[in-house]
Amino acid sequence: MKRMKVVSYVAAMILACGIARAEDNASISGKVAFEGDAPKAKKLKMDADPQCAGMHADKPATSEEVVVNANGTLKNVFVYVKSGVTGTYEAPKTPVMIDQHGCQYRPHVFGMQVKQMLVIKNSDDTLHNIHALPNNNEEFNKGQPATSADLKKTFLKADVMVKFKCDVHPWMTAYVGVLEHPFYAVTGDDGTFSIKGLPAGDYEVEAWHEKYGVQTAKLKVGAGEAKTADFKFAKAAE
Amino acid sequence: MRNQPETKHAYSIPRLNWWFLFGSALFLVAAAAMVWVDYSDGEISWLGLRADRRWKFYQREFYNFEKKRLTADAKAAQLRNEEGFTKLTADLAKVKADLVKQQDNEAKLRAELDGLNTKASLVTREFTIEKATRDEVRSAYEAALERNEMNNDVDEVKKALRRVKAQNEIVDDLDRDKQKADAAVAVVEANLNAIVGQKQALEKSLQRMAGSVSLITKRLKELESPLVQGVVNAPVIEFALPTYKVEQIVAEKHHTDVNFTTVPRVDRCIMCHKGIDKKDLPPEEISWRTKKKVDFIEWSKLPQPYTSHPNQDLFVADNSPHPASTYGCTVCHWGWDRETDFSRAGHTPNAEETNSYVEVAGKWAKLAEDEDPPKGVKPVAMTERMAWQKNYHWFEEEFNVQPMRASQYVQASCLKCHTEQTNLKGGDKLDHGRRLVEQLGCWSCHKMKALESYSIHKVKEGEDFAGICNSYDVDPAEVLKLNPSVQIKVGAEMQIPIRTLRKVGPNLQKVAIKDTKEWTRKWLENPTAFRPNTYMPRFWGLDNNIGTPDRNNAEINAITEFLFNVSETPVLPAPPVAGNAEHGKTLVDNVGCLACHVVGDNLLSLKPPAKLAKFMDEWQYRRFRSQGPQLAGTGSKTDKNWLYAWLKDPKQYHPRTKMPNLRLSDQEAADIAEYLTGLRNEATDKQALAPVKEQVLNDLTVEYLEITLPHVEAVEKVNKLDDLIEKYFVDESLTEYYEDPGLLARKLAQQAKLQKKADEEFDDAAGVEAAKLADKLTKVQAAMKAAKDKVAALAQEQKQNVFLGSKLISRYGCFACHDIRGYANAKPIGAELSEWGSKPVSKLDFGLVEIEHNRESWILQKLRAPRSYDLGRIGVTRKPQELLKMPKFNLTDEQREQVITVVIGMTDEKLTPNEPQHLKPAEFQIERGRWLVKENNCQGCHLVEGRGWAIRGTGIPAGMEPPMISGTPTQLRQGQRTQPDWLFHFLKAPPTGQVRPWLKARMPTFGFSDAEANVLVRYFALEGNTQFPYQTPTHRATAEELAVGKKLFEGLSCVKCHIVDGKALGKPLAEIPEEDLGQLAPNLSLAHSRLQRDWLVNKWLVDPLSQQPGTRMPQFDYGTALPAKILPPEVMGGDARKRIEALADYVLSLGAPVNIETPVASEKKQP
Repeated sequence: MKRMKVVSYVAAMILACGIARAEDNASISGKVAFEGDAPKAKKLKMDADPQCAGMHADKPATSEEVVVNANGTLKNVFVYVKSGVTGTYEAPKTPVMIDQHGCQYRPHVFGMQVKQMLVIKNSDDTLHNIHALPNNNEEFNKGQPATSADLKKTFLKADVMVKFKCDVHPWMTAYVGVLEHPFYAVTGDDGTFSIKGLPAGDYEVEAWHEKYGVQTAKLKVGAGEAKTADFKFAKAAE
Repeated sequence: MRNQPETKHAYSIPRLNWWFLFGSALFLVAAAAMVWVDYSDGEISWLGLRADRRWKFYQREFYNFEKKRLTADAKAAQLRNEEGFTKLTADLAKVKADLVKQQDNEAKLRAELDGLNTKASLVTREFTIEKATRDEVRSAYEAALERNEMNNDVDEVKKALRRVKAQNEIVDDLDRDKQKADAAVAVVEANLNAIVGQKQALEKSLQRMAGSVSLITKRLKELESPLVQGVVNAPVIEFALPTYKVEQIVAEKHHTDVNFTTVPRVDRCIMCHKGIDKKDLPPEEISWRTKKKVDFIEWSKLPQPYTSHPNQDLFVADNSPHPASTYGCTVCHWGWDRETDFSRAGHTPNAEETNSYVEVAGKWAKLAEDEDPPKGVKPVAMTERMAWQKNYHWFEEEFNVQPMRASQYVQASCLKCHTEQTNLKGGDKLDHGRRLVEQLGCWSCHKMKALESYSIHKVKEGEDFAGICNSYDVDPAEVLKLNPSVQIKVGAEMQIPIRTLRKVGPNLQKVAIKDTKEWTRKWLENPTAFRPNTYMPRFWGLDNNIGTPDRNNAEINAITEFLFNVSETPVLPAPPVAGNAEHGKTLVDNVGCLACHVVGDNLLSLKPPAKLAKFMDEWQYRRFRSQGPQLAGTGSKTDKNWLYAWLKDPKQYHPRTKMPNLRLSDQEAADIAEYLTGLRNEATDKQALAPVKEQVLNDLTVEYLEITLPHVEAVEKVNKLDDLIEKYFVDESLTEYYEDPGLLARKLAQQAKLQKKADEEFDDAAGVEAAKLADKLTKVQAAMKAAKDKVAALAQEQKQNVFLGSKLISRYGCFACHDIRGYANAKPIGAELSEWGSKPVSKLDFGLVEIEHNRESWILQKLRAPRSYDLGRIGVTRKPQELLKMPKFNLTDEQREQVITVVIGMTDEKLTPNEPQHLKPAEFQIERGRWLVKENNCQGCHLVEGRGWAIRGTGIPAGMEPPMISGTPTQLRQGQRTQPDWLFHFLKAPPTGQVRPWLKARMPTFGFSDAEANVLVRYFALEGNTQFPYQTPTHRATAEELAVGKKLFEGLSCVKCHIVDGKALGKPLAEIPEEDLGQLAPNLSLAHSRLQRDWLVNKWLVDPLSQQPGTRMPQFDYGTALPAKILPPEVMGGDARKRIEALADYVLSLGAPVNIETPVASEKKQP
């Protein structure tokens, strides 16, 4: 009888390990603050392509390079676990989408996993070309005339960050962080981020901003623990 | 029998026996000791003996490494097998299950087929019976008809016929079913066969896996058995089958000189260097093994002598260009080929001292660059020589005429064969060195045959001199210079120059309008004080004249006075417009100056930005950026008027200058002149000049006069120098009248004679000639008179200075690098270095300097402190006139190493007839092209052969840099992209802002001759592996094709970036705001005469990124994926290739002259 009990414990433990890490529920969340006077959003001059200018006839589009939220936080900061992740994570089946809309990329900063599919859409009635400038992956530059079918691309190696640009419209840029795991987030309109489903471990978390560079924090996260990590970017001396 | 008396000996037999015993014992011991010494492989230090067969020790050690590696290999193979076994076994099980399933399926189908077959046969039988019945009825009916016995039988016939028809249908149905079943069976059978094949393949792999391990274990067993090793290598028995044995490579084709004859090299290096040909594991295997924790040995990381050759792509390996089996080792490394002792074989240590030596187990070892010293051990400064002496009792074998090349100089050996080729793979130090020697102008004083590269042409039937020169695109004058006595007959050999070196220094014949005397004196005194990275060497203030400052001052002043007195002095007008220094700076930054010049940067610490590291190493970057002089301090050196004139047309001042014409407008040139003359060197400006002491000048004048005159006469001559210096004040063509004082008189006599002949014999021809001669001689006399007057007008001090200056210029050889009046035919003053690398060390004068006595040390000292070999002798055994003259060049240790590599690489070694000595015609043309590319620094702005783009290091933004010309072999090639005709004209006279008007950097006008432009065009074609001469495309597009092309052109919005008809972005170019210019793409209206259709169709439009990484040109889907709005899928059958051709043809029709749909043919020769 005792023996049966031991066997069933062992079986339960094996089962527990098998069921996708019920313990991996730690999280890291926080806020990315911006110090100093918020720079005024730069207006984008789209004269070179009248079609683009026409899409923003009522209100000129603004640059998304630096977007400071109303609560003094910074938008479009890519926060991710830089090192410390040990397991392997399959790429999600759902694709990531980037849209060329109003002669701007939507979203401007985003993350995806290695081998996850990236769908590139052109909603505009003009020619765009999506030119990826990766560090570790293969460069591509595909023309997408209006009404073209969506392009599908994947990255085979981790790469933080891959810049996208449009050579027809030089103001258009976007950035994607490609990682081997799903532990990343991008700050939105409230400047917060939250990375969930982490196993316990020692991690290095990095916050990346296209203009203000990177900042890192080292964290030890226990099983099921919810830690906070706040970052602060200051206006670079110009 | 008589009793014989006992024989008396003069010696005692028993004692002799004792002696014999003692002797035998001694011999035995000696023999044993000899065997021991012979077979012991270490050192018997207490006896002071060094084992002669140390190689046995090395071989045994190596077998240990091999054993270790094999063990690891076996383990890895096993692991792999286990991994593979599991996978293979699983696969096999799956296949077997599949097989069973398929077999079941087959059985079922076969049963079905059988059923059908039975049924069919039954039906067929019935059908046959029915048919027979019908036939019977029908024949009965037909017979009745014949007999006219019409009765009611007709109905029966009809019935029978109906039955037959029904039966017929059943048979057909069955037939169809049968066919279906047959097909199904066939499919199943094919499946079965495939699965059986799979099964067999899997079984085979399993067998092979088992086999791989057994092979390794077999060799391992051989190595491991100590008994076998011990017995086969035991003394005496070892002659049979030793495993430690003499091994050698006989390089039949490569000989070594043994006085009066040559013998093939017999290299025994591999006896110790046993791992030399081992190849390391591929990186993925290494990472696999690391992951699996399988120990492994990397051959390249083994200690010497086991290390594998670091560059097996080029050497040693059988598939490399220099396989060890035919080349051996000593042909490149030198050393005594047959010797097996470390020191006697001629191993040569590196000279440089590094403080990274640590003592490990009694031996001194150098730490690798990223290696940390063991705990508690402090690295010690040491040279390799010291370490070797300690480790191996190394000594210098003085009788070895070709000691091994120290590893730092090993590239010197490449020069033995590859004198004609540049861009040598693995020969970068030599390449850098050669370029440095070219730029420093070493060759202008010291003859170096290896630098004057040429190819051999064998004259064929029907060729003439001009034709041959023309076919190579070389200047006939250059060919004549190389072949002064060539006779053009079949089989004769002619040397065709590949590289034509030009004097490296500027022209000094008009120096007075460029510089001031004050600046020139300061410059000569110490050139690096003004320009830290100048190639101009220093002559004064060195070891052998630092003690005589007054003398130096007088010498410098004399040379300056000479140059300025004999200089032409045309008056230069001021720039026609006032310059703006700020604009000037912007222009210097943008227009392309910085590709060849630096302003204030120190070249020797200049590094290319990290992102450019793949295009050039730091030496190449510095080379590109130092094509022209540093520009800092320009204002202290020259004035605005001269600089303006120079910028407008550099060749006017100095016809041979490499500075190209940038086609600057008056305003632009004035702006740049204003900016650059504003850059001053304050230290030079402030530096005070000491006055020249009269006594010193007098003494020096006498000293130089005394070379040809007795002292008393020399002293008198000081005041009568006119006749000695007049010749410098006439045109160079008149120098002969001074060198041969009787010449004028003779010519006058000749003229008189001609005149007399004309007068007396009424010879008109003689009269004309006499008049011509008279005219010429009058001019000569006038010029000589003018020179005389000019000299007479000089003050005595000036005369002395000019005289002394002329003598000093001869002494120091200034004319070797500069054009100086009166020295056009002067011979270079340095010793020829063409075979210096073979000069016996005993013939080198080491003076009193304490350095190692070998060639490398001598030349290193010569470059570091060229006059130091005079130290301790000045005024003792050497008079001032006998002192060394070699100047000091401002070099870093690394640069000196590069120069030494070249100099010691020039030897008297002869190539054996079997070795290829000269380039193939295509290689020759490529080398000529490379030389022009190098001479004109094309790589300062462009990427050529994957190297260059130095201008990007000046901060020019991506997209604004001058275009790429050629990258890696699969990337863009200029010869493929553009039409030769266009390129020829573009090189000759590049128009500003036509193809890429947005570029601020300007393609300069280099002033290429037709021949040079042709060399470049052909070089690009050959380097791009394209057909030359150009073939006009035969394809002529139809109107429909052009219409499709037009639709594509418009649909893909090509004009969103490309310039067409002088417009872009819907506006004329002039109206496009500056910030949008960077967005534009090349002018397609020029495509018809510029681009090659093949390249557009096969390369560029298909995949632009593979041609030019980072290009802004996108790749489109030209096939059916194209939106229907642009081109419906059915057009051209949706064939991407056809559509690309249509687009290319349309682009090539843009702006083309009417009726010409395809580019114009190009001839090989330009007019």
